[in-house]
Amino acid sequence: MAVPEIRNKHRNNSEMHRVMRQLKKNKLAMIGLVIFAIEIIVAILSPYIIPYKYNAMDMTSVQKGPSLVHLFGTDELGRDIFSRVLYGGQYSLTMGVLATFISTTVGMLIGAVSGYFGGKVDNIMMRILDVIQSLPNMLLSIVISAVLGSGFVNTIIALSVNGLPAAARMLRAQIMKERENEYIEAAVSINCSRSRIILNHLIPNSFSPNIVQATMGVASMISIAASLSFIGLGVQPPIPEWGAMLSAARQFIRQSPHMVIFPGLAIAVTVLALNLLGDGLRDALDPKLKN
Amino acid sequence: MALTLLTACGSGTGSTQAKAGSTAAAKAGSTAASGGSSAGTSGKKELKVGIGIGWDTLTPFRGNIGNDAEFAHVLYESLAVQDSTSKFVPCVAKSWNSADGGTTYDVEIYDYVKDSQGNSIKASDIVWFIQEAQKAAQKPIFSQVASVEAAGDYKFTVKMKKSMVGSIENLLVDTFVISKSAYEASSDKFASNVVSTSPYLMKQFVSGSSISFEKRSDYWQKPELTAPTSKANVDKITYKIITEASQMGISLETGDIDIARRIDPNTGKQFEKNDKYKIVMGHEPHGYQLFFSGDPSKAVNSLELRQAICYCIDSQGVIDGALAGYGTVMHDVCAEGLVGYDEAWNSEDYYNYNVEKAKELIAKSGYKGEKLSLLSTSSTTFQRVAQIMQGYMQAVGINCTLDIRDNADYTASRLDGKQYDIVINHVGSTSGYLAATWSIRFDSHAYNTGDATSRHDDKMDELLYKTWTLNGYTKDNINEVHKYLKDNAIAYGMAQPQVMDIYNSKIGMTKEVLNERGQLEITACEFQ
Amino acid sequence: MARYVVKRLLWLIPVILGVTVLVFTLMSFCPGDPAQIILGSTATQEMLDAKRTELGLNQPYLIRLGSFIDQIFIKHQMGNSWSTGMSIAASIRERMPRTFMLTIVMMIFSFGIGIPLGVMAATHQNKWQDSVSMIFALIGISIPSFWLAMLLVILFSIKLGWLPALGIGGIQYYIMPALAGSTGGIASAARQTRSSMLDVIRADYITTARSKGVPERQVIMRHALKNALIPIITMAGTHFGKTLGGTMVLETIFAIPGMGSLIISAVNNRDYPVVQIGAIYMAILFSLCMLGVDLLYAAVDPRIKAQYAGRKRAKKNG
Repeated sequence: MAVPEIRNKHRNNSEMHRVMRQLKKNKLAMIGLVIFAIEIIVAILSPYIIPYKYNAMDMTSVQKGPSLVHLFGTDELGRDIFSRVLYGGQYSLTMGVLATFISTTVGMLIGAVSGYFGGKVDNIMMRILDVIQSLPNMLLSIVISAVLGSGFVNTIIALSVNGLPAAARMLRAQIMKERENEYIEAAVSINCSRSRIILNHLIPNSFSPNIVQATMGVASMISIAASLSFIGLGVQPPIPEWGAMLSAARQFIRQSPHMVIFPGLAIAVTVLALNLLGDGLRDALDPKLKN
Repeated sequence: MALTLLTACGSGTGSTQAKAGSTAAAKAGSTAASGGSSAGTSGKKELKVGIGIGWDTLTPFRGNIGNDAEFAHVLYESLAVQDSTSKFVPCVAKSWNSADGGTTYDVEIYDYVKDSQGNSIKASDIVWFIQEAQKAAQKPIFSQVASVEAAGDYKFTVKMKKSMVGSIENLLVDTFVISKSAYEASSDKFASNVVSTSPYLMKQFVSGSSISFEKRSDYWQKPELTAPTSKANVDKITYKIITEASQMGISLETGDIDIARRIDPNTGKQFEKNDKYKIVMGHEPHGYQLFFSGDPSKAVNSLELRQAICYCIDSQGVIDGALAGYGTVMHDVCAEGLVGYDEAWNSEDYYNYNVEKAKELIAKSGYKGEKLSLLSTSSTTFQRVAQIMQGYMQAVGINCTLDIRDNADYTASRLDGKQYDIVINHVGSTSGYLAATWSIRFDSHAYNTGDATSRHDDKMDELLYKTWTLNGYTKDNINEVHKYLKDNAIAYGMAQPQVMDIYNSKIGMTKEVLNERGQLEITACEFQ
Repeated sequence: MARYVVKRLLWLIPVILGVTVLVFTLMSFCPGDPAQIILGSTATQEMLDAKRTELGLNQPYLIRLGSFIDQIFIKHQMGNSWSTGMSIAASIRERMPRTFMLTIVMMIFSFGIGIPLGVMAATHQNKWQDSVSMIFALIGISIPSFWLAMLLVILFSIKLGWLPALGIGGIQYYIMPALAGSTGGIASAARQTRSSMLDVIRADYITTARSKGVPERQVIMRHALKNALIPIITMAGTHFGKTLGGTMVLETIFAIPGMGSLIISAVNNRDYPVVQIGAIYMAILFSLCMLGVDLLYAAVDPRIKAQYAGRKRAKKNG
């Protein structure tokens, strides 16, 4: 009779390998992954590679279209849009990733505790989540943003409430299924501590849907951040977060459409890449969809 | 992105397409009928005006939020108004004077004023209005009234709490004329439908979206005595609320509106070379200024540093960057056009842009690179001004960080000098007097914490109070205040924005009549 | 079944109370003094103090919360907006239908375009129709809605003159905003349709139908789609709720005075009652919506019905 621990680990590794192999076969997903990876690298290197400082104003070349000197043109204060888009990637991407990380992690913890213990604990937590979920996401983010004020960190906090309940419920559903399994029974019978059971056994086997949700989550966080900037909450200027750039540029859409095109393109490409990757992950993780 | 190519190739002018668009759009339009030029005798039949802010409710008791809606004077008449030379002229009030040098005023109204339901307006209605406005504690001028009582059917006496130049004019302009009985008979206190003495009758009101008026034939005032804001050369006028700046431009292009009021200059710029549209430039009696914190613990407490900051900012650059070039450089904290402004100031050196001098002064001040925070609201233009200022300051080595807050937060913090080093604002005076603005900003006794930036400056107070009385409002006293403000760099006026109205040539305007801000007084204009 | 409905309705009450407490508490932490906002920049200290007393801002938190709950739920008096003085109930009554209308038109576009797209992708799985539809849908979800909105305005209002650029009036005013905002919904609808269709197509009863000689079109439309609709309906319900609460951006661009723009200006003005009441309203609507979806779900899928019936029996027995 195989010891439960070993059987569990074995299951984990082969599962991961299978998923990775499946993913690699999906060309679109790989394209998405590559694009996202490139964006991250560019964002990290941006302070060193951009041709102009992101906040260098030049009143003599205001609202100029794309040219060899300014690849993406200039904005209404004469700043180089190409540099700003690249530099802004740091903020937009970090906000998306961090906010998603927080919302997924906290959500998963809540879901795990709720799913494992069940009963009253589960009930109370689910009701609290109900309350959060019955408020439209944007509204809650707006109110939190108004309370905390604008700024990078504050916006991340305001963003993280989105997706938190969904992450919690997803994990909870999985955990409720998993905990009926024999290996969990076995672990309990050898007096395995509860936290070990949750952290080492249950979560690793249940969180694959959360990965998919998180990947898509980053994409939607970036979009919501753009909407927050639109309303006037969000990051402080002159930080060139993509959403904030779009919002400031929308006034000029008739005469200088390039000001709107490039940040919008940046958002669109990122969201697209992440969605392709997320789709691929979902297909790879769910054997049923394998045709 | 084929869509973009398609759409981008027709740049701002939109000639033939706009025509096609306008007829189709007019058909699809909601309230007003077709905007074509019909053969009226002396008046244009109908006009559609695009405005940026509207009123959610039409109550005459208003606070300061959105109180300069463009249609306010079409909805209600006031006791007095300003004409195009900024002089205060009678509207419902026939005359006003003070026997005791500016504290008590006797006001007489015309004895034949009637509202649209035929109610006669008596002095008691006016007295009632002022008392109600006081109770509602809304517009600040009403709280300056110590007492008001009727002295006959058409005369009343008002006593102000202190004798302050410009206060009676402010009161006359801010008092709307309505009949007490009509107000009390209204089921929702004039929230959605009003009865007023204006020559226009309100026809339709969609809160947050549009309001339309139609001229009535039984206006009470004689044509030769009619106040400039009460002339009614347009038969039907509709105001549409368009908050999004680029949409205002689009509506003008498609013919959805005939006149764009206060259009953002960045959007309005595209109509410059287009013959089909005429641009009217007015000036706001407000300017963009920076105020230094009066809190003694702040780095800007050093005179040299303040002066350095004033020198390092190029006001013309602010105008070019934030106002699309539509503005004038300021020479005092207050904007030109206010009563009391001395034109001689325009030829003075008002910390004209001088980077060398700025650097010298910084060295003298002992500035060691501390962070200076600049407080601003999140409105687009303010943000631009703030970023431009930051750029200039960083260029001379001043470490300036931006503290941008939403409107509510900003309003709560701007009086507390501890929270910022510099705050930018956009102040002016609707009553038209310099002293009024100065008193709000620089009087140490105005607020619990000091003046508007928590400053306590006795000398400043002394000079200010001298100008407050009617007799004290002299050129010399005013000049002293101006000089003190300038020499001590307490605040700095940067740019006075111009205001842009654009109208479609096809409405057939034959005479442009302007108001005190140089903007179109639409209902008073003459059309073919 | 009826018990289930009643139970769900009763659950609404603590949830709504929870929302009330949550929003009230959050708003009370907001920096900014409503008295200052209402009275403006020229108010004196005494006026500010008087206003604060009038608005009840000086009382402790629990008392304010208690009187708020009492006022809204027991006395049914919503009061007036602090910034405009207008009756909040009247504002909501005027504005909610517009937001609702916008949401419905958006749903029509999302599902009217999304479902056929998804069906096409599912029935031609892994062929070019599949990839193209999915990429199309994905692009839709990636484009920022207000950017698309401006492009649409330029195309349809300025160049072609077919649609009004902004404002409210008849249904034609809602077409462009809805189109601009529905791209996300199209993508979700398409993907969900595709995956549930795929699930269903492989099911046994489909094979049975095919082997019986039922024409393919009927197989898809009658058998497959009907059963695939179930998860789509759930998704539609959630989507409706999300959309209802997310119309703010579109309302601003297209000058539609709806709930979204009301709440934004209320947040900016620290108009606490409007934000609180608006949020509660939205929460109630959304919860009712989800309840409706769950009921519909239960009514449509006989397996679920049996599950609930079974649960009742199990409870009785055990």
